[in-house]
Amino acid sequence: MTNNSPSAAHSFLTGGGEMGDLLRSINWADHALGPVEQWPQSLRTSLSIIFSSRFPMFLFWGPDQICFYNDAYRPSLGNNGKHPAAMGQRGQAVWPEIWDAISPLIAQVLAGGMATWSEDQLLPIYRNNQLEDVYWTFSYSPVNDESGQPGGVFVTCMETTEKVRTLRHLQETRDQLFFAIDAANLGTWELDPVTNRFIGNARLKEWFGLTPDAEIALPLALAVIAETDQQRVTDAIATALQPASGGTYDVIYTIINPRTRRERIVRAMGRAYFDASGVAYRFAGTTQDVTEQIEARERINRAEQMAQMAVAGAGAGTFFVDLADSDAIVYSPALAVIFTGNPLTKLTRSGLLNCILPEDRPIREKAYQIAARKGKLNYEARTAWPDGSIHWVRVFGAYLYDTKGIATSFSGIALDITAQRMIQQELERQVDERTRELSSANQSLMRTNHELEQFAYIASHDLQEPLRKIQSFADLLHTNRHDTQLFELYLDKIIRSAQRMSSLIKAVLAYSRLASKDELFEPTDLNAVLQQVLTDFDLLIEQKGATVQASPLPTLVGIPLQLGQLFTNLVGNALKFTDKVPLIEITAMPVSTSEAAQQAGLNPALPYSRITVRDNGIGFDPQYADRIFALFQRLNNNKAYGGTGIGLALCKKIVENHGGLITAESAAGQGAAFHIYLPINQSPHGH
Amino acid sequence: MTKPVICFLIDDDEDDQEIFAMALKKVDASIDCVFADTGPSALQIIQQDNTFAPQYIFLDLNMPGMTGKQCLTALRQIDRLRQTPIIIYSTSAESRDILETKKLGATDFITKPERVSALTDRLTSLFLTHQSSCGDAL
Repeated sequence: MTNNSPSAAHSFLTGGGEMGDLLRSINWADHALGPVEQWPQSLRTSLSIIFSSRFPMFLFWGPDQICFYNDAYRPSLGNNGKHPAAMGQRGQAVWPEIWDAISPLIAQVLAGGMATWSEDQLLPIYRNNQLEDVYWTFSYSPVNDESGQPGGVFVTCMETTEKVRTLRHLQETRDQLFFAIDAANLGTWELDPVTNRFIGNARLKEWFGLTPDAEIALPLALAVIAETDQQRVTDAIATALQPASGGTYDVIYTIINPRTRRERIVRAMGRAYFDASGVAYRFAGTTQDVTEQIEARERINRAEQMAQMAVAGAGAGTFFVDLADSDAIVYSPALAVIFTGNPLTKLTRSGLLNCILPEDRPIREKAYQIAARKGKLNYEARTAWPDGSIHWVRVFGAYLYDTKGIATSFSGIALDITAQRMIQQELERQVDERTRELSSANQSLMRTNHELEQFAYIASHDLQEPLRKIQSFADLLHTNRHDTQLFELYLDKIIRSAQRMSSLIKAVLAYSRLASKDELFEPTDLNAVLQQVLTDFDLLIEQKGATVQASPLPTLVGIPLQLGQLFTNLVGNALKFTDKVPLIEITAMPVSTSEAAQQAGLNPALPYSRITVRDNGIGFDPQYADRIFALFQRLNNNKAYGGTGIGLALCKKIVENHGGLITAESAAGQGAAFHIYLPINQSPHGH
Repeated sequence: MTKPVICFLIDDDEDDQEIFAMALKKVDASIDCVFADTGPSALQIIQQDNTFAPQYIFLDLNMPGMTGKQCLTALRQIDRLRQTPIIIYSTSAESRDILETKKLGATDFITKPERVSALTDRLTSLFLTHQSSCGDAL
């Protein structure tokens, strides 16, 4: 049966949906294909398949590649795009933007070639008011017409834009994950609990001493674990694979690269996944190299332990101050002991400050000012304990800073250095004492040296002088030996020079004997000593008609022989250096404390007696009052008065041996007075 | 007719005066010797007699009261003695004394020798050395 009515002619579009309606609405009479009634059966059949399918389909028909598509295809054209104008339109007009890409495929199929297959192919098309990147999976296949030759190209296609986007997103996410794993220096692993296949990433393989493409045999994965850790790791894995554990796995152990023997401490973290029956089907995770962290932590622990031992060993107290908190302080009991003597004392910052002696607080203040600039605190100050005792404390400390360089806290230690200080003070005292002793010894040495120099001087001058005269006069005696008068004169001069030399040598010997202090001190009655001296001078006193007046003298501790020499010299001088009838007065007075204090070289705490020997002789110029006690100082013309120049030096030495003092006063021609200050007692250590 | 040569010895030690005189006599018996016991007495002799102009002055250093150095300074301030050789005659042989007296204007320095012959030799050579500077002496 033939049905030429339009409706009958369109029967192949029955159920053609929206696109069927669209096709029917087109006035095909004006179209190149002509009225639908004249369309070949092959076209009709093809369209019948297309329009009734719910799979996206498209058809290019005839030499102009007239386009047909079904409802399923319609969404791929979007809105405000090719639809609905594309229906019945020429292919090139519909797809200008991709025509270069698809026309060769169309031509290939029309030329009798094989069907094409393109998967996830990007074909950007104009839709939704814009050119959009659209991915397609499609196949072009020939539709033979009545001539038996391909008359059109049948397109089954699917837009895969969403799938491609999802895949790409997935890929990016994977890339990011791998990047993160790589950056975190992580090894990744996965164990199939059913097959026991173990896989890992390149880094894990490197740690296991394997190349990136090598397989990891499960025995190797266990063998690289340090022997002491193996049991622990296998136990942890077994636990993780039990559903009761929740599947978590977190264990730290050492692995040893079998090739390089390099050891790594690793932390493996993972998770086991279970199916409904509670059987683990996947066990995966990461392994992190924590060698440095662990070693750093061990180093910190060691350092902390050593610091603690050092602090404890030194008996130091420690403290910590949070600068955000104004007055609180964290401290060890040892600190409380150092500052207060009691480990239980409750301390605050201000409480600590109050422990420090008020006069030492500026020291602490200054130390904190320096610490504010330099970050380090260091000071020594005294603390007063509640029991009243004073202790020396040394405090070290340092500020701790946040990352912005702002001081946030302060920590330090304190030491009790009282004993140290005492030793130091004692040491300083001893050094001072030794220095004084040395200085005194040095002065004594210098004095001795000076005296020795004077001895050398006498050897070269005073002793040589009579010798020179003896030689000279002997020469003259020889030359004038026939002149009786001169012979007598020179012989006499030779004898006198020899006598002078003899007395000089005796005086020098007497003086040098005084230098050795081996003579013993004993209580000595000066009256008896003086009496003996006056007895020795009996003859001279009588010759000169001299008067000697002696008042009572004290008994004191001294060396009798030396004290006798002292009086001998002084009385002898008084008798010798005079141009009138000698009058000699000898008196003694106790010395008052104030007088002793005025005389340099006397100790006001000791009792002294002042003995004065006064004469009416020629005296001496007061400007020489000091010089007269030096060796070989002869102030008088020796032609008139003689003398060795040793007598007064001898007196001075004797008085010094007794720890006393001798001074002289005079005016020329007015007589002289010698004052001798002698201690009544001798200190046990001598002088 | 030349003036007689006069040596002026200032020395407190009379033994040394005697020794010096005898030595001088041995050198040249025509030379006169005048003595002073102390610096002040020497200055007094010079100031009292304007005509007193010794050709040589010999001066001891170690004397009580005015020392030889003080005396030397005083002598050099007297105009008519400015050119007169002043010879230090002392027991000292110390270079310090020699340098110091040279600075104060001493012409020469004799350390008192032990032998009289040594003194005559020293005086002989001294008179030769200072002959020209003392005008018509010797």
